[in-house]
Amino acid sequence: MILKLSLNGFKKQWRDYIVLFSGLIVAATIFYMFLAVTINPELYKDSISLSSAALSIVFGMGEVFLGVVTFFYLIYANTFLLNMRQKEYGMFLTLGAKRSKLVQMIFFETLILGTVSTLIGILLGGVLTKVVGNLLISQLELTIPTLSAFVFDAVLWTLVFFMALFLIASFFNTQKLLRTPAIKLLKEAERPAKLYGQKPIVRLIQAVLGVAFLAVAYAQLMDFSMDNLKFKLSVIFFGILIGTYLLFNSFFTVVINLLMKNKGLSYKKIRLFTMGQVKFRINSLNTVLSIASIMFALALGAMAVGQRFQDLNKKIVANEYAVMLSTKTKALDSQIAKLHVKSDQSYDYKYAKDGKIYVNKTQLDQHPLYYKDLMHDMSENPVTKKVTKKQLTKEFFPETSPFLMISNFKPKKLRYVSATEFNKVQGLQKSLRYIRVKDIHQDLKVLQKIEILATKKDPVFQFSGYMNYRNGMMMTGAFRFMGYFLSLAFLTMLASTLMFKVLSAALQDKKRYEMLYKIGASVKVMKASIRHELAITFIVPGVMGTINVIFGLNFFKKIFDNPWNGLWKEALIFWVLYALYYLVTVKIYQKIVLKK
Amino acid sequence: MNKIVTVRDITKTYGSKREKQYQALKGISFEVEAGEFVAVMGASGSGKSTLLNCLSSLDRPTTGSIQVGDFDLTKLKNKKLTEFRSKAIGFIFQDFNLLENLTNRENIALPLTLQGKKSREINAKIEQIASRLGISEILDKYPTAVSGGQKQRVAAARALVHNPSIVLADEPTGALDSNSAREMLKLMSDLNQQGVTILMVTHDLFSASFANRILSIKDGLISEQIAKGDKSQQEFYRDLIQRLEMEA
Repeated sequence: MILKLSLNGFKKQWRDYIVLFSGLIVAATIFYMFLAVTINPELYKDSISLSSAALSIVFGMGEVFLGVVTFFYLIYANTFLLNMRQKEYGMFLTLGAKRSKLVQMIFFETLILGTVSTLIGILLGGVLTKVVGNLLISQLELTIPTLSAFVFDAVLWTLVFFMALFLIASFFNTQKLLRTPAIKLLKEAERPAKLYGQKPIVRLIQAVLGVAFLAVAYAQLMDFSMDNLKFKLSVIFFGILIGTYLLFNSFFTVVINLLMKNKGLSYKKIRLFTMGQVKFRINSLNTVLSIASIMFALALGAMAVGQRFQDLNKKIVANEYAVMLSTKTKALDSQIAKLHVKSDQSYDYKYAKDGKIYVNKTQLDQHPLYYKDLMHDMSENPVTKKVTKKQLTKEFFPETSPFLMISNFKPKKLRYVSATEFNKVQGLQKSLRYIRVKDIHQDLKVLQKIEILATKKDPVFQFSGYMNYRNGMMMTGAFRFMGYFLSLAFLTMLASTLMFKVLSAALQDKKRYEMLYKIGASVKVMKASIRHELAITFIVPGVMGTINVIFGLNFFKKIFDNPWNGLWKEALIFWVLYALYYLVTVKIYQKIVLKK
Repeated sequence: MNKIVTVRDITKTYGSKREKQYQALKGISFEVEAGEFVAVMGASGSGKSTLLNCLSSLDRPTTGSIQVGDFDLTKLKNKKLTEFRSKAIGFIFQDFNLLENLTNRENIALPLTLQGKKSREINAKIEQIASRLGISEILDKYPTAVSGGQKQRVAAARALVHNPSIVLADEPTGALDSNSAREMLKLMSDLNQQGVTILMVTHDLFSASFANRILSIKDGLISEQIAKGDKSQQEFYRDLIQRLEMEA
């Protein structure tokens, strides 16, 4: 019986459930995708583990961030479930259903919703992982063939995480239900809207405090340093949240009241009604709008920062020698011939019968090795220094590492001898080839081909400047992808939260629109009123969020020269996607509240 | 006398030809003259709500014609019907349906803003009707901040502010306690004395006793018409109860 009632409830309010579902499914899809990329076994098969590890680390960071936000989103989304059904629950109680049975029903419903949306999310996440995997491989030029779509641990942990959250949420929902009298559940939807008639002085104090909180938060962002990071981030986060909340609570109500007092403006068609609705909505959606403005900032910020990482590619500094090889093949020579070579020097060595490795020191004297001290010189154009004898034997950085490599990590076996002595040594002769190019960006495609030829056969190649450059590109590329996907996840969560909050008030609004229709408002006028009212509900957190991003990007000034460069493009894409959510919300809302 | 409402042989059938059809109105004809207070009384399912919906243009009769004021409802299309509702009728709903996020003044203004009247004219009319109904002092308060009786008056003001041809009242006492119901009916009676034409739909005998004329509706047809004549409201009510007892 409980199952039947539950399923009946789902059927009746399927439209509302679709909105909730979509938000939960996208959250699960992206959560799974991030996890599947982070712990993908294909990445660990890659012998160039540095670049794959980089991808893993970056996506792992994104996963943690996403996990925290998803946690709050799931808890919040689940409260809607209770609100949507509370009248029905009240009716069941009135008809004599035991609370314990009702608790079972809620538990069951929440679990069904959670399981189905998580499973669909994982399925879609698998598809997305495959698609994203292929994109990452091609865009970031990884040398692995593919990423596995379904990673058992990722499936398991996604299920565990989401189901745990749904269980917590259903526990809170049932606790709330157990404490609410049946009559309150029944009448909740009919309760008239609360309008807090604040005294002007209270509103003024709130407005001033709101501006003050925001000012402190923005000031922290403008003057950002890494000292006391946790404290500063807390000040920024809570400052923006509280400041936005107070501002919504006071300032906007004042503005709307002023507009309504202007009869020339407000006494047109049902503008009075529209303004009244907006005032009510902003008042009652305070918390949601404040959170939405922060989510908007996170979403737009993630997209903007992700894209800025692309710009960093030009700044990645490679080692002195783009290519370092210990093998020689025709294929390699053919590719090397296509490079814009600045210098191409070989250093001979021999594996002698006495177990030592003899190096032709005369070649080193005539053509010294140089290096860029990237560990200590973080500038855009680090100084090139000459490798000293001591460094060659005792210090190991990329430019000297090939010598370490040829000695099998036993530098004591290396003997640096003159050319004359070298020629006398009996043993297998090989050479290390050091190639400088004029501009690494110019030769990227050829270098990539050299990488494919050299990677599995030549262990020295991994120390090449090109590889270190490529790892840098990998990191920036991985951050870029992470930024896009976090942005998508946050946008979906934000928009579905707004959508849901608006739609959950629709039933109460239906009666108001029926009344308006009866006293002579046309459907056309009412549709326009809905569009305007919801536009303001969406625009206000969007604008606040955009302002937060403009200030927030200051945080990244240490990493990017101009974090705002190109922000207008990302903002445009973002607002277009946001507008699509707005249009869908308007359509659904109109369908619910307007008489046919 | 001037006829405000003329209803000729209206029927209303629900359901398509393929389904089992249900006839809510089976051929109703009546008239309402200017200044009359008519009650349409019937039990649930009698067709009184369907009749009200047809009179207010929220629904269209299957056959027959309806004339309200200058509007022939059966010949009008959407835009004109909206105009009809905003100009020709005033609505009093079962539970006032005042918008709690607007002040009483703003609630009363709505029918006039819909008509596109200028704000100066709107303000003047609001002051006028508020004075007539004794609610001038509560105009700038919100509905939740005033008493039930005052809310009734605000609802009545909204129904009258645009000088409609007729006020349609849909179970106006349905959600009220007995004292508030009595006050509401007295208010409507007073308005009628001042010349307002009212058609009220009700299932309640006591409410109907405040009207000048009662149209009894049963199974989609008018079963009888009862005129109040010169009787007082209490006498009319006693009469109605006796009639009911005799029928039982």
